[in-house]
Amino acid sequence: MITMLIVDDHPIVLEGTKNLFQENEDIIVDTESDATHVIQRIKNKPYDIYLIDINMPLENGIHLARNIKAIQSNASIILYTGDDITDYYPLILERKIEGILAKTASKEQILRTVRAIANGEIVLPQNFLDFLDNKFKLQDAKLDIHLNEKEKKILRLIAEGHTNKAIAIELNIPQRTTERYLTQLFSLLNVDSRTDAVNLAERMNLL
Amino acid sequence: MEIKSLSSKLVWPAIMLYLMIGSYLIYVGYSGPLLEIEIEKENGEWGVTQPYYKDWTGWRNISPSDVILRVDDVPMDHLHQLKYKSMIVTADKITIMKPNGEIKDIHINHSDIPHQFYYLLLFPFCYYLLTLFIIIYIYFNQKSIKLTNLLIFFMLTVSLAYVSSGVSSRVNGIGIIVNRSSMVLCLAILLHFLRDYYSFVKINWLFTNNIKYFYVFPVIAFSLGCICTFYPAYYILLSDVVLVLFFILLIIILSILLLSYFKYKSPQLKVLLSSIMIPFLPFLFLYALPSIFFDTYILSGEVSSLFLLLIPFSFIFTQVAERLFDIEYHITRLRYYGIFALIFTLWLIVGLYCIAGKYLTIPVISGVSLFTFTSLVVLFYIKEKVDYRKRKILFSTKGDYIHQLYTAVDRIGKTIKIDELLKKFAQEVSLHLELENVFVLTYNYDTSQFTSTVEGRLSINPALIEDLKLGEIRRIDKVYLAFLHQDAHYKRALVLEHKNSIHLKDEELLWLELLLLYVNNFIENTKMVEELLEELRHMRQADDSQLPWLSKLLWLRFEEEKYQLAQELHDTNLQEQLHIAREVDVLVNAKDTTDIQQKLDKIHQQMITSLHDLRAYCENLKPPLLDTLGLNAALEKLIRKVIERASFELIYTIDRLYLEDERMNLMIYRLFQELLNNALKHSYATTVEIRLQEMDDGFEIIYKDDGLGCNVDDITVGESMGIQGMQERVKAFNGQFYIDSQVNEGMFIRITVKEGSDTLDYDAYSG
Repeated sequence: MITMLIVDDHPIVLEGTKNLFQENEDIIVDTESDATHVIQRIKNKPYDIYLIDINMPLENGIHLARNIKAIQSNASIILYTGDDITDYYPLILERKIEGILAKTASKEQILRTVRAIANGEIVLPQNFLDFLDNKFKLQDAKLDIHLNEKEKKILRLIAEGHTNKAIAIELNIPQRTTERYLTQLFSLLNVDSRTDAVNLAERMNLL
Repeated sequence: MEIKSLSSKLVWPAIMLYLMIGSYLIYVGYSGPLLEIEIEKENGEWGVTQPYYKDWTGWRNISPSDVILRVDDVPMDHLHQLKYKSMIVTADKITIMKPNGEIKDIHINHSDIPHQFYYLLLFPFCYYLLTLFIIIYIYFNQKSIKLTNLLIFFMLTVSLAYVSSGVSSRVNGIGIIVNRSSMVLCLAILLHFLRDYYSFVKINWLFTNNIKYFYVFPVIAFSLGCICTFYPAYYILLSDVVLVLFFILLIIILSILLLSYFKYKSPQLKVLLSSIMIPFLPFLFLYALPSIFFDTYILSGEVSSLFLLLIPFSFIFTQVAERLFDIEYHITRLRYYGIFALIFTLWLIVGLYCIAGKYLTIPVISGVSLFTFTSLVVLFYIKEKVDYRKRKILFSTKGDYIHQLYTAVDRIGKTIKIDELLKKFAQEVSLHLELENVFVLTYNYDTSQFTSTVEGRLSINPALIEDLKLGEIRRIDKVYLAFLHQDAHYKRALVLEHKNSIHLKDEELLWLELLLLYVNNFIENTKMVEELLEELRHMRQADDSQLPWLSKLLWLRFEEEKYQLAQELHDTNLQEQLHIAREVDVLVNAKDTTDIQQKLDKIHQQMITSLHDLRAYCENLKPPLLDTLGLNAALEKLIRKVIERASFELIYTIDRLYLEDERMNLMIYRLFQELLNNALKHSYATTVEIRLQEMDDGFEIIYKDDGLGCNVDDITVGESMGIQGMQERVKAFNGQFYIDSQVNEGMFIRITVKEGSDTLDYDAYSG
């Protein structure tokens, strides 16, 4: 038995996607059209798999995925997008998502992916390997991350235990901008928390 | 004004009255010595108990057992003096009867009691004359200022009180009246004088302004004096009442001075207070305290109280030398020079003594030291004069003038309008030089007319103004005239009304001169600022008129864009969709369903292709990944796509940016898009370099290719290659756009944008 929540702001897509699973009684599907309601909803009733659209106006899918993982670490997330899915391959490597599906994908592809992921497997198109090739070529080129001055400064402030507000004051920028900077820095370092960021920075002698 | 004229009218009568009463009192004082022999009536006979003046030489002729028969040939029982107190106050001749029945006449002369003669006759007489001379001097030198007149009245009454004190002890009727009333009157006048002096030096007066009510006190004293003459029995009581009045006034005056001194600490008050306090010191320390604690005195009461009479003279300083502050200046300067002269004199004398001590007597050495000392002090004064003439250097007590100059310049400097500037300047000068009427006179060459910052004061001859040269301060009968500023239309001069009574000191003139120089520059600068402001206003107006044009343009641009979008969608996607719909319709109505699966699959493929086109279209309108994965991911995707299509080699570096304004990301993306599209379409380059570099507070985009290039002038004129659009976008974010290109020599573009208040300004305009 697989429980799944589909999140998409377009009712037609939502309906169409749900219909794909109608004949499969082992997959129970719920839908949600407002991304901001998801977190509240899954606190009471968690799902095994989340099929999430990326481009949503109130909260984009990547953001939502992170929020879901924060409260339900065993959640499996599949992004479901009309965009070019290759752009989002890095997210799989970073373990932010478990799978990615194009909205043009066939019913077969979708069912296969959902089932595989429910079984702890990963189903990906072949060009994922191209991505990996490129990725490692690039990584060879810039094996160690060079932080620029601003990033070092922010990291140092985090390491000293400053709050976002204190950092905002220190850098003389709005708090919202600070949060954006931190998100950008965390995604660069591929970490999820301040502690991880500081640990990584220490381990790699970035500071 | 009314009071002023009244008080000046009163001066001469007052001096006349002073002369008359004074002469009479001195005559009475001279007519007979003051004895104050206490007597008692026992069994119908008058006997002596105690004399006041123990050193009276005639005293040895009288013993307590003697009976006094007559004084000045008047029998004792008819003696007028005895109605006041049981005392022989004054007498030329006393007739006594010795116990053995011998009758003896004792003649008394002033020379018999020299002590009394000095204190009750000679000193008062000298003081009387001194006061008279000084008053006449002040009166002729100082013109009629209300303060001066009050000072004159004060000195007159003090002098009268002193002169009459001896006579009133002689129980002379007029003497008593004059003494009582002048004693109280002098303090009332002093109070009045202080009130006016405070307002003159601009110190807050802490007491009531209705000084005239205090003149009731002397009137009471006067009437009490009169009563006393008619009812001698109340003599003691009434004199006590007058003393009470005297002390009330004294306490009021002293407390006002002390309070205001501790509140304001101004140097004028310091001098004023010490001029009252110091004369009390000999009385206190040489007489009062020793006689209380050691039962002896260093200086007798009479002598030490003489110092009190110095008080009125110390007040002269408040008038004769214009201002108390100046006194302090002169004293400090003298002390300064004196110390230098003294040190050098000591040095010289010690050296002289060591070298030639044998040959020099003490008088010679002291003569030499005195001569050296005075010569040095004189030398210093001469040096100061010479310095001032040549180099404008002056002795200054505390650098006050420099400080004043700083604050004045500072305060004036804050104005941005010439009128305001002139008004403030006049205020500053008036405040600092303590002159009431200071104003700026503007002479208009075009209309040959005067205007001034103060109404109705235009009594200056135009020729004088025209004659005035740069930096000149001229003294003309009632005013100082100082050149301020001159331009093609106006000549401005500062007018300081002194009414012949005030001389500006050298350092004040120097202060004024410097300030004039500053103001001259200020006016120049202010004029420039005014012109600039005017220009800005014009530009602002021009801007306002441009805005409707701009919004119209923007609106047209938007409409154009939308039209193009619709056209493109119509030409591509819409046609494809129409085609697909028709194909599906064919399939729906097809009778032959054998290969329907295959046909549907074909349609599905077509739809997917159409979707891809549509997505590419959307991505073009709204850059993908920018919102979700950020600028770097979006740029890398863009570059990947360009590399796929490009025939050139693309070298790129993309720094990670931390920008405050999120909208900048879109702009950077668009700039990259534009630059790379240009490279793809027009450059025909073999290598293209594009870099996004982080800078302090901003970023820099560098683009370089080795393609065809173009003539830069053609770009700025025409709207080719969207470069103009990029320039505008960069400008909108207050960035800099630099382009360098030659035909066949490739192209170099550098764009720098700084984040800061400028972009916020831009937001304010656009928002």
